[in-house]
Amino acid sequence: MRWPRVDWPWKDGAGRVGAKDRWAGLKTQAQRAFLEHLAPRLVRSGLLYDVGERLARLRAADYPPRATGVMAQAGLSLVRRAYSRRYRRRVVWTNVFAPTEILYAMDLLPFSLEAAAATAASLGLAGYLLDVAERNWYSSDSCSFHRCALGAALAGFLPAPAALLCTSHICDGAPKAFARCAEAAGRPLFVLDTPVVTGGGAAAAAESYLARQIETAANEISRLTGSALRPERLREACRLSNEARRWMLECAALRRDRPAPVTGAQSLGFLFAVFTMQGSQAAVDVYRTLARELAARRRDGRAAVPRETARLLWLHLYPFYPNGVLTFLEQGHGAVVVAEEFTHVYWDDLDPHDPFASLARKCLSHFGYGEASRRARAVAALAQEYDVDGVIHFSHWGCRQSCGGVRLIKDELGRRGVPLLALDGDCVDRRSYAEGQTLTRLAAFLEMLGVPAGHGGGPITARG
Amino acid sequence: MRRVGAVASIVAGIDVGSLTTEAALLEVAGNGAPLRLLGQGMVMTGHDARGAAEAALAAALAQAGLGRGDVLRLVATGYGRIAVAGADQRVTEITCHARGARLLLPATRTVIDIGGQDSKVIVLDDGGRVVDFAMNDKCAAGTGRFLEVMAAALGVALDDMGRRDAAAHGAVSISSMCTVFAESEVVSLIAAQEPRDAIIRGLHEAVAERTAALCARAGGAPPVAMTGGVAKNAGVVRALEARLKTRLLIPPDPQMAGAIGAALAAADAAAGPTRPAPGS
Repeated sequence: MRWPRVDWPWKDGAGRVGAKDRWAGLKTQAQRAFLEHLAPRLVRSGLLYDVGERLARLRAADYPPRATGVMAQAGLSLVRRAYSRRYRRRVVWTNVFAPTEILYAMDLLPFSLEAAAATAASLGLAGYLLDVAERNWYSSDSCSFHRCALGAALAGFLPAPAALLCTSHICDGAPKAFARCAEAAGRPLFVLDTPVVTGGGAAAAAESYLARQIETAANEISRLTGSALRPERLREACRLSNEARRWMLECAALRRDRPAPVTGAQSLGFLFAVFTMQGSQAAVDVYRTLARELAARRRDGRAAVPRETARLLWLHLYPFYPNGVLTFLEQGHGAVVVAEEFTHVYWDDLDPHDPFASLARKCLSHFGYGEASRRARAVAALAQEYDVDGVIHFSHWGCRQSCGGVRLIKDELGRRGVPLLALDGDCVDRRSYAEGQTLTRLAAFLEMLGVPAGHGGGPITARG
Repeated sequence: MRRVGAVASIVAGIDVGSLTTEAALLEVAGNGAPLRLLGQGMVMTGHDARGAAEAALAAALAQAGLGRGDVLRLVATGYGRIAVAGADQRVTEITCHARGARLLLPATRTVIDIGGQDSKVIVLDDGGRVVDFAMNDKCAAGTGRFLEVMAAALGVALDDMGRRDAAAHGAVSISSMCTVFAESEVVSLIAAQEPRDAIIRGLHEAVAERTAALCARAGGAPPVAMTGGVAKNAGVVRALEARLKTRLLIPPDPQMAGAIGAALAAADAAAGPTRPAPGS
């Protein structure tokens, strides 16, 4: 097999290396050499993550904020273990909305396929993996998170799973994509069929229907992996999930301050903790560190950007490959993302004594599930809570569930005088990203909000 | 630097688009209010955006009988705005087309600008401020580039498309909006002996359909002005007017609106911190 074709993120259009000094040049060369030799065997070797984890620990103080370093260590540790022989048959491929609490309770490792795709994109590997999936008849019109993950699974980059666990709520394409990944891995898939509840009377039935499925999946995964599902461990996972939730709420409260204590780029970096660490000590550590750091920043009067010109709410995800979107807004123009849809705490505390039912309630309470107007109302409430000047909806290619309701969100916000920009793009597939067109839309939106003109469009190539 | 009279000054705007680059010189009063258009220039952008910007500005200066040193402030817009040397500020074409259209046609509430690479619908409030906008997605469907490619496929001069549309008896339906697919559809239609003029009208209908949908998305309301080079194509204008059920307001040089809007942005800054209403 040929090694991946890497789309070098640090090269300019003419193929020149854009390093500014000798050290940066050397670093670039090292990165290039590393990626050129990136083979599935190397990706699966524990050594890589061990080195990464040590580097993250050494450089913990360099991360702004420090919680990023805490998360990097925890994330690398999780991935290292996932690839290690010791955890063989203890990895479960999950989607981002799966209740990972049940897996942590069994000492299993959730391995989020969407997070893996995002990581591949950030490393410049996604192009190759997307090609692998497309060569296997996976349509280029599908969600690139799942397409990229399937490519990684087919190319042998992922740790072998014992099972796959996926919910059907929010991301309704996930069960189909996971079915294909399960075939590639040759392991069973557990789909948690989450019902849509529209009337009050159906809520109890929906909850028990889903709770039973979660319990069955947990028992089956326990049987498959030989990891016992002990009630006290399940209670502990729920307790940790609740503790992480409380710190997340603390961070959310601190982010209502003016000026914003943390940028959206930094906050969105914690999605890995939100999506894969619920029910673990790591999530508690990450959000506790962040909350304390934000409180200290407030005490010291330190702002996320030197001059805050506008406050924005970010909907859906963002591009994970190197791109100028958030830098352009936050560092270039002082327009700070003060809240994000996917870092928002929408669920209630879990009941450690009734774990399956409360995990079912958590899934069912997601504001993005069910009628599109439910999400629109929740977004409008968030816009009000954080007192934002504008809202940006990143409409990810192939994501039907998020793009479908944009009109309703725009109308709901419009009634409150908050403008919305629907920015079309792709979170993983860099080939669909046109920086000039994207930044022009962002710049025009900022001009509309009355943000003082700066660069007026960032590093735009003179094509258009 | 030359000051005209006691308080008036000269400002410039350059709009570097995908096909053409325009420059406009405005004489503005001390409070930033535009007094008159002194000169304008237009060149093909080609492969050198920076050179095109300089050539367009030189043409405008020559028309006005002025030198580069007479220009107090220069604002660049359009996709090549970053390439313009010596620009004091860069503003997007959304803001600039809105301001230019509003100055040229003060009644304007909605601006449709079909440029080479982007088509956009901009909605203004009573004061001329941009309150919303919608743009085409990433592909070239419904843009000037689409018509350019189709003109080449049909062997017709771009400027001749409007006249040929008028001579057509009926329109051939074009179902593809992807530029590449539509091109092969056009080639098939030629092979099927469909009259060229009817194909051209079909293409115009397709562009109008797409633009009208964009207008509905942005919530555009009359009076609607149209700027950009495609506004000179009578066929697209007719098709669009029929779909929007309103007459389009079109300035004499519709492709100049962006450069004039950029010059107005330059006038704001030249006037000092107090910013007049857009388009005023």
